[in-house]
Amino acid sequence: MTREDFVGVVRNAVAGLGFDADAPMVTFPISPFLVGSDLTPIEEGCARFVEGLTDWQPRAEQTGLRQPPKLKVEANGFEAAFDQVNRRFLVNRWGDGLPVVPPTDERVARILRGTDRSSDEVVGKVMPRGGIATIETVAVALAMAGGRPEYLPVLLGAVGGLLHPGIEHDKIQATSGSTFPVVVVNGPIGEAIRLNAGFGLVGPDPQHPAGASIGRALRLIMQNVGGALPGVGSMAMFGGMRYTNAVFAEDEAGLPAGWAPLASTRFAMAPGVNAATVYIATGASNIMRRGVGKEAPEEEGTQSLQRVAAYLGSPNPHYTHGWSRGTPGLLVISRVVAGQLAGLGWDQARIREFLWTQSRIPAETVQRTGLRQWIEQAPDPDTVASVSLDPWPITRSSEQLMVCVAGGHHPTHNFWMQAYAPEVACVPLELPAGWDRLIAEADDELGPAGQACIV
Amino acid sequence: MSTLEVFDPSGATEVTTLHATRLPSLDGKKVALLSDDMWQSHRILPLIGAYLSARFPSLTLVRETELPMGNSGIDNDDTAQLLADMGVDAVVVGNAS
Repeated sequence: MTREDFVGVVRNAVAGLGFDADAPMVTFPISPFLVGSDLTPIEEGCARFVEGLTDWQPRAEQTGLRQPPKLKVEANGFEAAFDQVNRRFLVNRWGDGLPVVPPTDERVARILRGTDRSSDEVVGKVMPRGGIATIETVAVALAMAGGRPEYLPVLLGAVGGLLHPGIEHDKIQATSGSTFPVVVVNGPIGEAIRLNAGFGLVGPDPQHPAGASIGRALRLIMQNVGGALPGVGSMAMFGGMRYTNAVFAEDEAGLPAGWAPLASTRFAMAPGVNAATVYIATGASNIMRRGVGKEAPEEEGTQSLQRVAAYLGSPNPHYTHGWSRGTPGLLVISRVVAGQLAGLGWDQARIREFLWTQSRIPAETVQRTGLRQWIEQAPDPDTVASVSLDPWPITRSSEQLMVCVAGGHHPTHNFWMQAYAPEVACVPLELPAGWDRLIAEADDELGPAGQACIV
Repeated sequence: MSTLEVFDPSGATEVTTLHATRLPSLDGKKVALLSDDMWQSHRILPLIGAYLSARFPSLTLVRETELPMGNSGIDNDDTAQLLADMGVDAVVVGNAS
């Protein structure tokens, strides 16, 4: 039983379970499913449940793998063929509204230089549709997104992180929440492939084009392989950063002495290891960091963190998803801010502890806003038990709150990326044997990497 | 004339399980109601149960309250096995909205 415009969601769901993408459904308009509804349509439609159990006939009569054929386009000249591919991709619901680069054999083969893994190796099933992502499928998406071969290791890490069981990407893909993956890259690969760690962090930035292509490719995989088509397979009401998701590098050169990269603080990865930390966010907010300029440094530092804590301390039911093992979100602070705080004696653990303590929500607010029911309905028993805590902490421990150093070298703002994250994944990145040559080719084609200013 | 041959970006899919054969009739069958406990299922499923019981007097109804409820309660192999162990012939699942 489902509402009429949820048919695609159900088809995706059954396909993801290994059935043909169809199911006996009894559908109704959304109105009977709302609080206080008139159930007359249900009463009048009861006979259809009997039909679904007795008369409905499935389309598929045998099991097996279904490999889609390639698409062939012929037109008068390359430009016309390019346009026709783009039209066909939109008609087939494979695009995102921006032009796609036709994923030809030649282009996909070029992208595949970014890995030594076999092109037919299965990376995983992307839910809810259950499409099978192979190395080649991932390369096809990166080709479409205008990517380059040296981006492939990060994209493969991002896909691996997204498909980590604890991330629950099947639910994330279909939810009405406006979720999107956040991919934070640590290690020298970030700078090598021109991933942004500074000004304009989540893009666009022609000096750092990698995040846009990698994130766009990830979105195309989620949509095309996973079936997260808006209003059909994904019920995200508003979407959110969904053209490119959020893919960036930590500004490791900007870490104050004694501070560690995110992959090290959260996953004990050795500093210098190439890794992608992946979690699901529901939004991002710019929180004014600086004071008016007349405060004492200690006062400004503490007040800025109090503002962040006050923001975090909203009664958001999304916290219940990540309370036990996940994260409430990621606080992104610039190297300037990190340096100021470090100079005042703050380290990452103290910042996390401060935010965790100061963002606790009084029981009266938990009760008044209905957050209590969400806590009590959580699938995790420890989260349910936490309802007795007063004030209620937004996560089990301060260690779950993530802090990383990135963004423009400026003191004005902090950036909070709210999570919907039962878990956070971290994937070490694999480089191909010809890595140095790929990077050298990129330097030849794009000019030297870095914060070049040609104005 | 230019020709472009491009990949279908949706990837392969695999049908591993066929849908169950439909029942010839619900007479004498055991039918379960399975609830995600959302979207007024607490009001809607009892209506459907009442209809099925009235139309098929020999039908045995397993009410949703006798089974695990909620997304995490119904979306797992244990619940599927429980239904099989109970000898359930058919299931109505709701509500997706």
